[in-house]
Amino acid sequence: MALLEIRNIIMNFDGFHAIDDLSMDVEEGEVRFLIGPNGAGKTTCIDVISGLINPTSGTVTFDGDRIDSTSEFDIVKRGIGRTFQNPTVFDDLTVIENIDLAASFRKSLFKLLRQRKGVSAEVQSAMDTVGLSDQGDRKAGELSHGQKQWLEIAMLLALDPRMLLLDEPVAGMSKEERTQTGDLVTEIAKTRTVMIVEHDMDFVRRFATGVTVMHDGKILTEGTIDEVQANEEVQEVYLGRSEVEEVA
Amino acid sequence: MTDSIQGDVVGTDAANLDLHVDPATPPPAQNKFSGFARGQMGLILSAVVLLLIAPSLLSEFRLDLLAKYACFAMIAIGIDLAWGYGGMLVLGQGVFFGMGGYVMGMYMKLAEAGPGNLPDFMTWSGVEELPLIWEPLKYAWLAIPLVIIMPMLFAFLLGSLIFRRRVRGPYFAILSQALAAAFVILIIGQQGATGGTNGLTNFTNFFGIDLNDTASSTSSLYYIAIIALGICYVIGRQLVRSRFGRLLIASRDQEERVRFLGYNPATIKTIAYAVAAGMAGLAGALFVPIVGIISPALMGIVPSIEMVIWVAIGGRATLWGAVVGALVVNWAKTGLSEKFPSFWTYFLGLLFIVVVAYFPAGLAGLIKSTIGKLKEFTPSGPSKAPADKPATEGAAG
Repeated sequence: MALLEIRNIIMNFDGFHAIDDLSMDVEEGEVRFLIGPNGAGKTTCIDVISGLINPTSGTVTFDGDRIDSTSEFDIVKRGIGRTFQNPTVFDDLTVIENIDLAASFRKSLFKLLRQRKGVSAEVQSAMDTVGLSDQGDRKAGELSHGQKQWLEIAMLLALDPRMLLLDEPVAGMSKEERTQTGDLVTEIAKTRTVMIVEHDMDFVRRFATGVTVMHDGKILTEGTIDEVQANEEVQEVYLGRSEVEEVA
Repeated sequence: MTDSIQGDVVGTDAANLDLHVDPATPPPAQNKFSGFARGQMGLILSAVVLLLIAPSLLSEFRLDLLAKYACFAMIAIGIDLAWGYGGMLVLGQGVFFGMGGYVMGMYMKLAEAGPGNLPDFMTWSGVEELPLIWEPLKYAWLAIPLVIIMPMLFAFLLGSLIFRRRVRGPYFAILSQALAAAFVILIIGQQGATGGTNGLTNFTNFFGIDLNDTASSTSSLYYIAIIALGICYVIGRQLVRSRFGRLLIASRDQEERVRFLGYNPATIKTIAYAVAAGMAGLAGALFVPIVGIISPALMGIVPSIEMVIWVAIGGRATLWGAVVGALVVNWAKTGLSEKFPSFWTYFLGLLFIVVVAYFPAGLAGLIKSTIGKLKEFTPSGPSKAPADKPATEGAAG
């Protein structure tokens, strides 16, 4: 049994099927890339898994439990964490406080009423992993776009989830930042299951192991990056077009 | 949000990781940026000393007023928790103030009437049997906790309902205000049980304090109010500095994101709302013996909005700012209404506009930036100033 099983999901927004009868399995330990042209339903897929929206019909099963009508915070408690396309961090709190909140969600309400004393080991290690250790006391609102993305990943690490959902983690990053993020994702993926929505094909080619191509709310094909690239249909709707553009 | 206290720690030696402290707490003494936090502690200490020696400085009349303002300051601390930190614009805190006030007023009325007798106003309105809701208020051990628990419970139930349904922003504000209107109508409608528009008044005794002997009762009541205010402040401070307080700010700014960290923001907001209600209830209960009346006019929409204005003027998201706001606005209100009886509301309006337009961080923000500027002229300042300045400026943004 796969860690995440999606069966016949339909997501209907006022007559428009953002996701149309989608089924997918993600095995424990996999790094799955979700690619496809704009409007293919990639982010909607992440939204359904993470509980931001409830599917119109179909089921999502994580580790044997149905999660398709579970609230966002309960899904986090079951071990799925996500990031957003636009990094959303708490601007008024410091980097340490942001990560510390993520690391504290299993604490009882009574414990939350106490003050934070120093920096816990989880917070420190999350901060070290993403390379923000020297920014700990800065307010998150002062960070650069790329640093905010990393802070989100650090918060995700502090949640210690079994599965991470990353929505365009390198969008808006410089080339150097992209490489760093890619290395970071590879590092994280050693111990966790990761699902990444990404537009940047260079990034996908460098770091993907398994790729799912979506188009018009459906799965077009699944496989390794080479298999996917060889697929004519895929070239037509997505890769081909972008490669033609690149050549031109 | 410009909360420049939090900016102070920015730029500290980041390599020294075990020294990281919650930015809202005063940094350790060896921290070279701790001057401001120390200044803030000094301000709070001198305020405490002033409040404690006030009875020997002020006339009985002024002391009585100050005790009343202290009650208002408790409401302001609660509003600051809910609104300043939690982003819930509570436009109906008068309801909780009224609940505390009525519970205390009803108890005092019954205690004065003596066992088996009806409170004076009931006899006047032809009521012959004690209404059922008055029964539990015969007992002090029940009435005293109810003063706080009843508003808290009410706010908790209401909060659980509306925050879970993700009602927020102006919708919540309107809902909370409608509550104030409804509560006032309810009280006025039940003339026989509540005293109607007149409310409850003519109190003579507060737990053994003879309210007719104002020479001694004024200072006793004043100290009780000041101690209660101190307790509210300490509770508020602990809440704000704890992880719960960080979560409250997080829920205010990015409620959606908080859910994806595994917390239910509805619970966090409900708790803050209930604590704010409890503080307003306590304030109402102490207001009754101090001022001698509780009536619907004190808890409707207009007084509820005034309560929010205290916090807006004092400075949101700084607890002492809320206290200062409540004290200053009410002191100005009394002073101006003595000199210009028909104009003070215009002054209050003007003050509100000026503060909101030019000092969005309120009086607290003004005081902080003034202290910051003064520090640049202190002897030890200039040598460090150039290095420190960029960091502090960045933090203010």
